[in-house]
Amino acid sequence: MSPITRIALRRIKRDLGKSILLMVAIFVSTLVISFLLFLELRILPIQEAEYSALPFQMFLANVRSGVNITVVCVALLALLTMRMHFGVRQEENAQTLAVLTSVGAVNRQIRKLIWIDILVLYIPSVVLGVGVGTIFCILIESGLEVGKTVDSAELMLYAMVAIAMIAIGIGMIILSNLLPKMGIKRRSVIGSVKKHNLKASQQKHSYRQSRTYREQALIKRLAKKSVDYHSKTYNEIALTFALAAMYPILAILLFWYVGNTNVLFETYQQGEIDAALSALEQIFALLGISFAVLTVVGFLQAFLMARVQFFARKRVTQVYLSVGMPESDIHKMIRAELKSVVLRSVIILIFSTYIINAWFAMVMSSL
Amino acid sequence: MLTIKHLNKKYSTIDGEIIALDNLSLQIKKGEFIAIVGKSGSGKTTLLNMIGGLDTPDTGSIMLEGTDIAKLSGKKAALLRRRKIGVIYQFYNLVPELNVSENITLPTELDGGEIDTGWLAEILQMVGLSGREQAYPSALSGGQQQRVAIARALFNRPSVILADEPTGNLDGENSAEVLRLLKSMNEEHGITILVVTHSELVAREAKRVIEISNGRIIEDRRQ
Ligand SMILES: Nc1ncnc2c1ncn2[C@@H]1O[C@H](COP(=O)(O)OP(=O)(O)OP(=O)(O)O)[C@@H](O)[C@H]1O
Ligand SMILES: [Mg+2]
Repeated sequence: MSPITRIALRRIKRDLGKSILLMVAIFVSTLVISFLLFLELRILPIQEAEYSALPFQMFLANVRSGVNITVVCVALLALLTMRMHFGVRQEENAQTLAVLTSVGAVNRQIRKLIWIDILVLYIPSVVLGVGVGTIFCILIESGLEVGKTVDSAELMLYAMVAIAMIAIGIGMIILSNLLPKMGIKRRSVIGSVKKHNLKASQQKHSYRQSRTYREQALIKRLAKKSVDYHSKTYNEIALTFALAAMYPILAILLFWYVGNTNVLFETYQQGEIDAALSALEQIFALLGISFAVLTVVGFLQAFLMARVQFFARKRVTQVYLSVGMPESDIHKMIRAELKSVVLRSVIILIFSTYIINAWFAMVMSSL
Repeated sequence: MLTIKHLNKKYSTIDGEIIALDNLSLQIKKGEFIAIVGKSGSGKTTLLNMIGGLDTPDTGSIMLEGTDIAKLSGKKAALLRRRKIGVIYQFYNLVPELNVSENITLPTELDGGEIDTGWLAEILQMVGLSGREQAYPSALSGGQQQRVAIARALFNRPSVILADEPTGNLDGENSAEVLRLLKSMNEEHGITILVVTHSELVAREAKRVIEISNGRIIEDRRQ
């Protein structure tokens, strides 16, 4: 076995837990997407000509548009989560890549490390996540409609969703590996890893010089410097938090725009529409559950990524300890850093909620 | 063996342009043991990275046994590092996912070469790590990790070893051990050694000391 393969496989084995989390995220996204499309499929027959005079047509049209928007958003969020997982993983690669470069690994060999990651870790995660999500959805569907077999049109739909998710997911990861030409060509170990230590020693210097006065302001300034310096990392953490919080917001928006379903169910119960409507009701209940699961997974992932990033910051923290910054100050500093991360994610959140809300409003008013 | 001519390197940063190397020329013979000293920021690491083909100069040439490292493509520079140059840094030398012997044989394996197990055992013995072949870097002390890095640099029988503050992170005893290893490589295996150092001890033991200031050689003495 070549050393590259050996390194790649050992890393994958070590980080299996994180990949399972990714798989769960993809699984839940698939489940939600398939679910929503299944819901739409139920609506189609009720929208046919023979029912066109019924008063809940407007409501059904609303549900359909709401569902479409949500499907697009959930798919986007799933892709973003995947992309970020991949990004963080490559960031963690820095030391290994730098050492490999310094002992004379050529680009092809270094890329191989990442290709193995994609082949052994990402492709199976995506395929498994999507596959299990689809199967779950089919199972729940047959549970909802006892006696009715899943027809071929529905299977077709599921298959298409699954294939599209797999193709887009894998395509995106492969693209993000190919597109930004990795700057690993002539990067030295020092260049890539020691960089933040250099910065830390500069900060150490400014801490020494000014710690006699205005300590509070200084800690804030150091925290700000650190956040600026690790800007990309912190933006990613912020984005992860924002993504996690996006799921429940999406659910709220969907339910808000499609209106109060219960009233409608009670008012219009007649003939064969009943079955479809009760299915609809059940789906709404399950929708709520999947959103809850998605939120939990989102937060778990956010927590894990944040942990990885903060672990990397520990070295810098030790530098501060060594110049006599008390531990309580270090904690204050990290808290200040955190605060700015949360602020960033709130800004991202408000911005994207605004856009999605506008989208919902536009589509609904055009009906 | 190594001829460096008119090397220039500028970095542009937010604080303006930094001249890291200023028309630096240097001639090194086979089998020399050279210490490069100088204030922090004087350009020592930059010079070493260029000799290792990890960074390219703006102008100038670095001839190692007939090839100009400064003009090599990334791939050719990598092949050269693999076969002719051993690199040791102050820290972060090892691949965390590989154990001691795998780290040592890494360059050879990357090159598709056969592993000479007898030579591996001999080197492990020499750096005092016999019995620790299976250990992973995280389970080694700083001094032990550094000895693995030295063993790896030596394993391919390179013509030159570039060491950037190899003792910077170590206590006196470990530093002395690293120095002893570098010296024996130089004396027993005839490997040319370039070591950037802030350590008095290392500088005293070198046969030639080059002092760099602001990217220029200000002193070059043999002792
Ligand atoms: N990637 C870079 N971008 C910008 N400036 C750089 C870069 N690398 C080095 N420099 C600058 O070039 C100069 C020489 O740096 P170099 O790392 O060679 O110094 P050094 O002699 O090794 O110092 P030390 O003893 O602290 O390791 C310094 O002023 C440094 O700030
Ligand atoms: Mg240096």
